[in-house]
Amino acid sequence: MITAALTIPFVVGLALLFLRKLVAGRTAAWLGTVAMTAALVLFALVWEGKDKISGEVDVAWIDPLGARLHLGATALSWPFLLMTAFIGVLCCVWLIADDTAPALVGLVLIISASSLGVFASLDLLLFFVFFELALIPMWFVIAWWGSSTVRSSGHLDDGSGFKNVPAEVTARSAATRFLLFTVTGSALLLVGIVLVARDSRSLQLTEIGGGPLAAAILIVLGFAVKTPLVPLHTWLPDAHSKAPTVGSVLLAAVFLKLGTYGLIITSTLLSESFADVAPYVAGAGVVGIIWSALACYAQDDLKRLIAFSSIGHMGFVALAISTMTDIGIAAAVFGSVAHGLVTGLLFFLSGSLKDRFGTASMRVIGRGLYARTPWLAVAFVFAAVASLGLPGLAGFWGELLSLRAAYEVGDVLSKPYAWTVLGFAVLGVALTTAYFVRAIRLLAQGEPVAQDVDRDLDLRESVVGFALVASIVVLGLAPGLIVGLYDFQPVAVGAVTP
Amino acid sequence: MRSRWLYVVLTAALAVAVAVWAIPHLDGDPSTKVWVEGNDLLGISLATHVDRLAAQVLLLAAGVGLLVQIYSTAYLGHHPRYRSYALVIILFLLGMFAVVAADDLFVLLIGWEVMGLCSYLLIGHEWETAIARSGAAKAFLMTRVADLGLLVGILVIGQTYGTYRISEVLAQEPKNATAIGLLLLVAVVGKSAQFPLHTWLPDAMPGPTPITALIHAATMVAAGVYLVARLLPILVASELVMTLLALIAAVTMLLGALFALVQSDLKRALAWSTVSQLAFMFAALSAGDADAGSDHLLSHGAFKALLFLGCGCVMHAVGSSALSAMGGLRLRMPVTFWSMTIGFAALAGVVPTVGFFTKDSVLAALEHGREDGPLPGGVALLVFGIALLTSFITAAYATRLWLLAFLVPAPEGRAEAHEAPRAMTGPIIVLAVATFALSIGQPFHLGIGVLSTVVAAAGIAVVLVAWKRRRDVDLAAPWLISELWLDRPYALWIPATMRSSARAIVDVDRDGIDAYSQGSAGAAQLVSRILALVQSGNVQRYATVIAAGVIVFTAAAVVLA
Amino acid sequence: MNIPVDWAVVGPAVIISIGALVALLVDAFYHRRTWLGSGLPAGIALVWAGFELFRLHDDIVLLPMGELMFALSLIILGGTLVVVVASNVMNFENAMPPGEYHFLLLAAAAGALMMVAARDLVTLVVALELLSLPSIALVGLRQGDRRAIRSAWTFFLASVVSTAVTLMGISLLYGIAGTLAYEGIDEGLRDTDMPEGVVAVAVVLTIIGLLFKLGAVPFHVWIPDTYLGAPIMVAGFLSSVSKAASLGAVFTLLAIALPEAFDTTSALLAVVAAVTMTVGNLGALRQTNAIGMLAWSSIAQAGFLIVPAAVFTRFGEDSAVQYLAVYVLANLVAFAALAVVLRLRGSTDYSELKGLARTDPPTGVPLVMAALTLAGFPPAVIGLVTKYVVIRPAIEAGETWLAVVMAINVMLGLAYYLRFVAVLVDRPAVDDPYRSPSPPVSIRISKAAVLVGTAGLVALSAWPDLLLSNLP
Repeated sequence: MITAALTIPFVVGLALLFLRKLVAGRTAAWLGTVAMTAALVLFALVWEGKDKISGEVDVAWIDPLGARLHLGATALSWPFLLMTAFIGVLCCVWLIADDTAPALVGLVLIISASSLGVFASLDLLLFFVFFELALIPMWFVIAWWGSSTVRSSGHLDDGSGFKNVPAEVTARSAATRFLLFTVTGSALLLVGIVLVARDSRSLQLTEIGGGPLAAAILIVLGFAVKTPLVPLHTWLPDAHSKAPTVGSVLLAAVFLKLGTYGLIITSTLLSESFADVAPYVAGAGVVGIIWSALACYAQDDLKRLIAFSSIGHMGFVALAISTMTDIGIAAAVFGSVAHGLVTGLLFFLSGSLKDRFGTASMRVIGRGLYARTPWLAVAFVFAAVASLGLPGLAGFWGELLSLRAAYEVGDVLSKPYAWTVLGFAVLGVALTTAYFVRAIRLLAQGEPVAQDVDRDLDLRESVVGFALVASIVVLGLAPGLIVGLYDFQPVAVGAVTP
Repeated sequence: MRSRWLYVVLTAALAVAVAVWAIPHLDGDPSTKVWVEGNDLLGISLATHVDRLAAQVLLLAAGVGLLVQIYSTAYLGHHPRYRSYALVIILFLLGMFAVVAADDLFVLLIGWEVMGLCSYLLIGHEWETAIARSGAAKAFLMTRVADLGLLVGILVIGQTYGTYRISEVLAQEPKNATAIGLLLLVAVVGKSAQFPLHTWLPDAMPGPTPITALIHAATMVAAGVYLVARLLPILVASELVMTLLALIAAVTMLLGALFALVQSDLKRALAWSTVSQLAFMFAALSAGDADAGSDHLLSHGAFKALLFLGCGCVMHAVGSSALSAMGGLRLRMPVTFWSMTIGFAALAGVVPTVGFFTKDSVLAALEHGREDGPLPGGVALLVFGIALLTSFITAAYATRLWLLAFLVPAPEGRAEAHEAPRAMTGPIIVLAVATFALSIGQPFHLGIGVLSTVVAAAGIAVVLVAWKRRRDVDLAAPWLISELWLDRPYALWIPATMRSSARAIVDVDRDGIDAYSQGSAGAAQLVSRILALVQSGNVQRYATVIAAGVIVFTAAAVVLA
Repeated sequence: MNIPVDWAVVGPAVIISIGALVALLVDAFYHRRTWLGSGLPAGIALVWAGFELFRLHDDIVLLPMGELMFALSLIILGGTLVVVVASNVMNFENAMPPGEYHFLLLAAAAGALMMVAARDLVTLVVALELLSLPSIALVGLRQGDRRAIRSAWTFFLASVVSTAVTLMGISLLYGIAGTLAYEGIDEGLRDTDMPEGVVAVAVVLTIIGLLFKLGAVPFHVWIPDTYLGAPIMVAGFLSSVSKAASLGAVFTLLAIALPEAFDTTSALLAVVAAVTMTVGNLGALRQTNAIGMLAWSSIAQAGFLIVPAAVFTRFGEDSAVQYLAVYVLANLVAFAALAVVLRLRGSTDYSELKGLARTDPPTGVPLVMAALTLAGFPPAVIGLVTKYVVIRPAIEAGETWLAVVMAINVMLGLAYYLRFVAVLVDRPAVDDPYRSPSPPVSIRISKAAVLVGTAGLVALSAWPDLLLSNLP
């Protein structure tokens, strides 16, 4: 079943790439929607229970290396799988429009399917192959369909005071930076994988029982670029803000999760050596929270703002992972999934704005969207409020559980350190509120100055928006849906010894 | 019109449901119910706990909420965004009910923050105006920052007591009270606008007046009081926390009353009065008397809602909340005048309004707290003194506001003012009645009662005399009018710090951190160019390179061997 | 001095030499001088040699390092065959004499086979020269092409210098060990009372000649010029077959003759590998000509190839051979496709290649696949898998730093391979691409070679086991 769930989007995606001349964009997007829905349904159905590997497929692949085609959904990966497939569906729905390029739909499908493959892999080499597979399609998505508009009003909120506003970053250079950063990380990751495989004499996630410190460092570095942790984050704002809407959504909702998922499984697989790295992960995460929140406070471009905010949210996830407790794992998974939904919604909405105004600059879009495009504004405020972690919405529980994990310390971090980190994280929450309130003030509120292109959400935008809003509310009100997967000892792969 | 009443009906249904649920518990029969059991890891269950206190506050919230909803049909009914306004009120009430009835601390937190969000949305209801936007942002930010104290406090409670259920926590001996208390104090000080986080409440006044009555007088700001009252059994164990709470209350009540005395805007004056009155409740709580605190909460909820709604009627009539625009309304708006007179009387603590009784309870609690209770004797005495002083000032500003709003001559050239429509006067009549009705059954302390009546009468008399003599009740005290510049940090310093550090961060991000990746890319390009230079096609140069290579290799071999 | 002559060792080389002579004769007596006329006997000789190789398999594997010899011989024969087939693209190019071309090519191939088979230093030097001299001639074969002549001249000078150095090393070794046979050298080094410095210098000087052939830094300087000036398929030959032979020689030499000097060679080669891959990749960054890019990339790939030789652990030779096989296949596909492009469009500049994968998929798509394989990036899974394979020995030997350098180089490599790929799949610059009015048969043959090679890459990507289980 998992094989089918992966194959369907791959095949449809490839077909759309090669037959792009034969199908209309709208048809292609419908096809993509159907394919991703099929994958979503299959992944949902494959579930067999939290204490075992669901839908396991294990076929010989590269014997001399000990690599196998080993797929399955675990309690750790299943939420990621569902979220990825769900976002994939919504991306395709989003593309149901006349001006969609069929090839873009194809690439979206391939990217989604590769990411699904990463989450479903139980073999490190296979994991790595899928991990890399998604990169080049993403490069094309950003470089070819990315925004080419000149940034209209400087880099900062108040550009006038700054002479050295950087030269325009093109979509292509942003894409290349994204790729090179990520590949540097993943190359180190490969070295780490080799180290692990040497020590464990196996590449199967189910059999690996630890690895040397060097491996943990390299693997964590590799995933840290992807997650991203400060100071390895500088690729992200450009890539996210230059990418087309679906590209930004996939980057934020899915790609960053490859990093956090990787960190999570590293913390379970290499628990001993990860423990030595964990304090640094926690530190980087917390610095990221504060750093990104302050950076957000000075952004004018909405997409850049959301991109920076992602760094902060990932900081919470990193903090949770570094505690290496059950609650930390639950927090990390929840935080990742919630961030995928919330930031996905934010990027979809900023994509709507960009479609209308040709830019995501808040100055150009202007104030008073409440009056000009009421539903869009309301959805945006909802997403912002969810993102700043209002209790009762999905964004809250990830943060809360992270803080709780840090407060309860666990065995890895020292108490003074964990509590210091906790203090900074709490400060970060406050700063997060500040910049989102600022964004709401600049966009939704204010004396409305109508523009010709003011247009409220259309059908496909409403469908996507509603689906995400609904899921955010559901997860916010019933966090047990995900947290409930981890209330047994201990979680998932590393521990499921055959 | 019909659609407006739909929201009233919805609110009424909600209120009735809450009433049916709460009334049986008024006689002090607590009941705990678990609706949804949480799982082990998360530990969050949907549980409620309703006792006498909770039932009273529930009824207050439901009652004021319903009245405000009715009032709003007339006050804001023609506003283009009435629908979202009415819906947010309902959401707010749900949040409030969650806070009051929750047994699980996380459910409480959800309600707590939902209230904060609704407050934010409603203050910013008139988001076209800059003052409303900034007021909303300020209120949201300050309360939310403070709420983080509650969040961490809940984590500490959970870790300390091994449960997140209030009823289970209270069943245990107090532990770790200082840490928990300090954290909760942060949240409470923010939510209830106590010093030093008090400045957001006056700035929240650009919100629609009914909202001010509901959220920023009767319910949400009182939630801080409610929370402390609820958790008082575990907090009294810490003398530090209680002393701190008492001192905060003392400072706040005095400042609030002083600021209220000099305002030129009726609504803002009432807001400062709210700050001051909330401090009264905290003072009672700090003396360990939860009943006195919560009684004052209820009475204040009623009479302050009355005052704000009355203020709304006046604003409706004269189109402004500035005191200079009012005056001479006694005969023009008789219902409003008499209702608000009752309200002001309750605020000043005049017999037999409920304000008199509950304020006396507070004073009695403080006086009593000198001998026994969690506070050191000296502190209790100090707070008692300040509370008496505050009562004096309160009576004075209540009188001043009453005079300026209704009795002084109307300003020239103002259009004829008319009494508000019935949907607006109805609720204030109900509240005026309640201001008396709630007195029934209140405890009465003779000595304190005489003392406080003397103090209040003195306060009233001073203002009346001043008015009789000079026809002027304004106090020339610029340092009070500027509210002691206490808002400076929030209005200027913190935002400026954030802005500059944000810019610094963006710069460092680009020129510091990113410089390494950009720099290494540049270095790679440079090396690439140099390699291309070597590749000139000049064979001698190649031979040189190779020869040099051989020499290096040989040298390396010798060294390595 | 006893030089053993064993059919198992020289058989294939002899067959190929015969083929070379036949090709030359056919061309001399057949007036049309078609490419097929002499190419066919050359191809037949290569295939026959291949059969002979398989027949001798059991004998060969008994030799020391026999497995390696067998595998590399196979790669050399296969690679040369691809070169021969793809060279058809030069049919009816008046400046290129087919007979001489095939003769020289097969002679060089025979030299390559000999290098892999060499078990004593004399044979090694002879084989090295047998490989080098025809190669130099091949580079400068295009008549009247000044650039080709200059390239050949560069190649020649560099070759002479390095051979001289090697000869010096060999004479030193002979002085120390008293013999030129590998096994004898091993014993000699073990018993010698010479200072260690002298031994080390002798060993290092000997290896330099081979490093030169591999294109290791700093002996790489001849490569970009030579590749750019040579006929494209000759460049392809140099980058694949020639490297395979040198790698084989390095391994055999290190394993049989110089295990005593392992410490020296290991440290030295590790550094050389790291520097070589870095310099190669950096050099390739700014290239805007496909051949120039591939030239530098082949330097970088040589760095990766040297890694297993440097650490020489459990997986040493296997991983090198597996990496080499994929590299040779991908590289030859790329060179062959570019040869077609050059013939049709007259240039291999990026500006000329823009949108090639769309306008001319049979050459453009293979180039994409080859570039991704060289970069080690999915969908060319086999490239990624062989990157894994080649990093593994470094890790196994505990040289994690080297592995990290390799990782960074993977990133550097991707930077320019991706640029190349982006050019290929970009929207074409002109709507009406140049099309040859009637492509000669020979181009179709070359294209077929390209496509078969690509099919091989795709098959290996789908099922890497095919390669990894079957090669040594």
